[in-house]
Amino acid sequence: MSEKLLEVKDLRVVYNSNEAVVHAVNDISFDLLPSETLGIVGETGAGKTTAAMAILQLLPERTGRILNGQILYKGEDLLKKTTNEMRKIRGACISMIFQDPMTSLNPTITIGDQIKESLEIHNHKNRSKTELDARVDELLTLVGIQSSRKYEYPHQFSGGMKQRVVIAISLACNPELIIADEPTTALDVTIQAQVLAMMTELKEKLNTSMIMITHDLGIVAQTCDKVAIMYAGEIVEKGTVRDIFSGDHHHPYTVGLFGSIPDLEVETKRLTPIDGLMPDPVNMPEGCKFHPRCKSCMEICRTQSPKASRFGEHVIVCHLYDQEVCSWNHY
Amino acid sequence: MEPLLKTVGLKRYFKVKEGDLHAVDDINLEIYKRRNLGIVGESGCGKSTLGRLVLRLLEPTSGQVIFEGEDILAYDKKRMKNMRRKMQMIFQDPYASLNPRMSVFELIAEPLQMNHIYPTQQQTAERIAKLMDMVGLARRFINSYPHELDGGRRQRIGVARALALNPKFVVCDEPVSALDVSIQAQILNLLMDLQDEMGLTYMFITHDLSVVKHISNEIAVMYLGQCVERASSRELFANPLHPYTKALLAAIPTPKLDVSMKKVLIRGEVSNPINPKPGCRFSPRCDFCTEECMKDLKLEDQGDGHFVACRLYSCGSISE
Amino acid sequence: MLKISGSAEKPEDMQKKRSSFINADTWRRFKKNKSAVIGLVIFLLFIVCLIFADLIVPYQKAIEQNLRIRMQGISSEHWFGTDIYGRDIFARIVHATRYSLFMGIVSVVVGIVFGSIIAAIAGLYGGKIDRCIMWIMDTVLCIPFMLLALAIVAALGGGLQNLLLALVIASVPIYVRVIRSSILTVVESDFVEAARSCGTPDRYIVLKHILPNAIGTVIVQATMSVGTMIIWAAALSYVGMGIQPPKPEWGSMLAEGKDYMLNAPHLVIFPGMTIILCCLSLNLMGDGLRDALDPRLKD
Repeated sequence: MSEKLLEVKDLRVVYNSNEAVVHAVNDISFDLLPSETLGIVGETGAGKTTAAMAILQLLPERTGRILNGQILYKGEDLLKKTTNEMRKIRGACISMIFQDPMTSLNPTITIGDQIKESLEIHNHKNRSKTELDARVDELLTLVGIQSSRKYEYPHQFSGGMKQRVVIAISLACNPELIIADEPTTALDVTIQAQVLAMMTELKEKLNTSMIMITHDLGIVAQTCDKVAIMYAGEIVEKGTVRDIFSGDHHHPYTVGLFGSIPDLEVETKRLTPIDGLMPDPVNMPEGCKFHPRCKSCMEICRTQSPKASRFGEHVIVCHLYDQEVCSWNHY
Repeated sequence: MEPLLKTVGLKRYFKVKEGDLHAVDDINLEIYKRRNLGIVGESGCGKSTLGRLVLRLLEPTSGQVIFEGEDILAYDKKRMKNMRRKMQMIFQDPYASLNPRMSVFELIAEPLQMNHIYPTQQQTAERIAKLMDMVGLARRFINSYPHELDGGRRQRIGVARALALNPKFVVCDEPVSALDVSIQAQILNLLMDLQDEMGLTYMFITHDLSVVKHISNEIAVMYLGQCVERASSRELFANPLHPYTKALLAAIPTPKLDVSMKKVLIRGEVSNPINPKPGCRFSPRCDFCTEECMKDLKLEDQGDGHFVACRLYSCGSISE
Repeated sequence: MLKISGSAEKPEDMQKKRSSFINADTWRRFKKNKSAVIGLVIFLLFIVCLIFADLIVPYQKAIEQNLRIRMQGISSEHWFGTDIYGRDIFARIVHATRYSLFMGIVSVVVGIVFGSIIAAIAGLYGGKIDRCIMWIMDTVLCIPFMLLALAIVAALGGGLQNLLLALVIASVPIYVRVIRSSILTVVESDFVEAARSCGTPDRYIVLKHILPNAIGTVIVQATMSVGTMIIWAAALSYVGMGIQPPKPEWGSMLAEGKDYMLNAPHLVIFPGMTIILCCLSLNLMGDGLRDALDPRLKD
């Protein structure tokens, strides 16, 4: 079945502050099939969280604006939906896991009640209180927490456990798509391993699709089927996980990212980081946004934005690949 | 050769309602000049506390900290102030560690002014400019405030400030954890270059094993206040002995495909550091735990400077 | 201007160090908040009354009684009408500004100064000293403000000085609480630890690191407290314990007029509105100041 679950086309998001317009996301497109995991990789300021929030239309009301694009969920454009319709979709069809479990749980409500909240809001089948309670127990067991702990408060749990509660909340209504925004960044590495293993297991069991936003390429290699690499609000490279990790051709930024990671196996004297910093979103460079930091920068990069070159599912947006016409097709 | 810094039986307990919280328990370390020591562990293992104890930013409950042959815990206030010039710290959070109301100039000037290094304002200003050049911070930021700069630049301010007094020994408390991957690499390179230039010695505290491997000559693994394994960098990664070290290494997601999902060797959560029971603190989560593990363990030399505190390797015999 | 030799940057780029507390940035942010600016303008009008009261309207007019024209309404001669003794209400309101605003500002300033000292001692030394001080403060806080102020005034007699003393004593515990909790938060900060690690002595840490960062919240509360103190002063005068006649005071004007509210509402409306306006302007300014002072708030 190749019906796309989610299709994002030419999404553009800006933040209007008093002083300037911040171009957070610039015409990105990607899609996701059912039961697939897409990893969105990028550093701080790349626009990954903004893109995720735009899908669920959770952008800050006063400043966030979606200027352009379509977000097709099972064929229907989410941007055309009313507030009420979006509310029905959030939690039930698409749910989100936020980064910091310390702050995403309400400290004054028991975790059992917080899980139940989601169930009560989307209770279309009019299930009784007992049925809802049973479901809460089921979810807690699913994430590895004793169901007797549902009367406890968030502060009584450790970071890893809190994140499991957050995952339970996100799974409560059996959503088809989960957007996980750096779900394990705030956790210790051994707890991260546990939580990631659990998420992978649940994903397979429940056939959920996932968008995993992260800056950690290791997590991407372990959990994702497809990858999109974002830089300064644009997708500079995307493809299957094999294309990104084993392929020969890459965007210079991708090469830089891999070069910045200290390898556990190979001994290197110095790391090869990318010089400079991500551009100010208020003041983007002309032409290719990466050109000031690119080791392979050419004249054309300074003036013209590169087009996307694609080979099968692998897309690279870089002038370096304009020339290889034989094996790569313009898009 | 005498170590630059040595700790003997260093302990720090915090009194809480329920009893004593064993934050750092009986740590014995030796750091030699120009040989960096990495301290690795997860949250709650006591590594940050250890960093502060070594600089005497926290008073230990018991034990000794011997720097260049002398026990700094015996120093009075005045001598300690002088000692501070030789040992400095780079803090983790590049935002919380900088006073939001002070400009870059004032932040880097503070250690110089408090220690009356230069008699004139002009000389201080020149030194600050040189320091900024050394850490790769553009001079135009000299009057900027921390909130105007990004994480990488703020951390460079922290580095400049730590190096202002020309110390010999620098404790780096998770200096790159809060930074993006490419900025991390820049700062790590900077730290290594500065070490070569200034002859520094680092104690590098982090939870990220890949980072510590890069910058340390020797690594000590901490768990719940105790040191469970210590070896040279190469040896630890090639041949980890302690079950916790093995689990820690296995848990790191590698950015490579076709690496089969390593079996998660660790289960459960960290146990309570308050009034801990005697014996190995990792035993509740260890697959190889036996009766023997309830007895107190000491770090034992397995040869080649590789120490481990585990009954699997006691008395020089490897039993599994 | 600092000259750095061998610098690649031009000397013009090395600006003079900006004052780290209130600077051009703060003012710019403050200006953007329209309600805060309105508050400031209104407050400045009151300050003008405070300073130039005699020039606006002679003091005589405020205290001269003329029973023949008592309780008259608004007229071209008496803009706000006359009170029960025939005195010009407008003149009384203008001159009362001197007492009311003065009391409000001075009581808050003195309160904060003492409050900071006590809070610093409590917050920095901790332990028994902290507990002892906070115990005293909590005890004082338990007594209702009005009761405490009344008791002090009753014991010492009325008049401006004793009224000020009563207001200060009753409000210091509140400032101590707020400043102390700010101090405790700041003391734990990494940057205080960083300062300690480079050998900064304690007194510098308090002056340069702790107080500037802890006092921010208090400054804002201070502007709002001025309004509160004005109301308390008015309340005390209302019950006859504050400013003694014939000196005009907004609260005592309310007291005098209350029995005649139905026939001559202007007797209470004007003093009442003045109190409201003064407090409102201070509150708006306080809000604006809080937003402007935080260096981390994005524009």
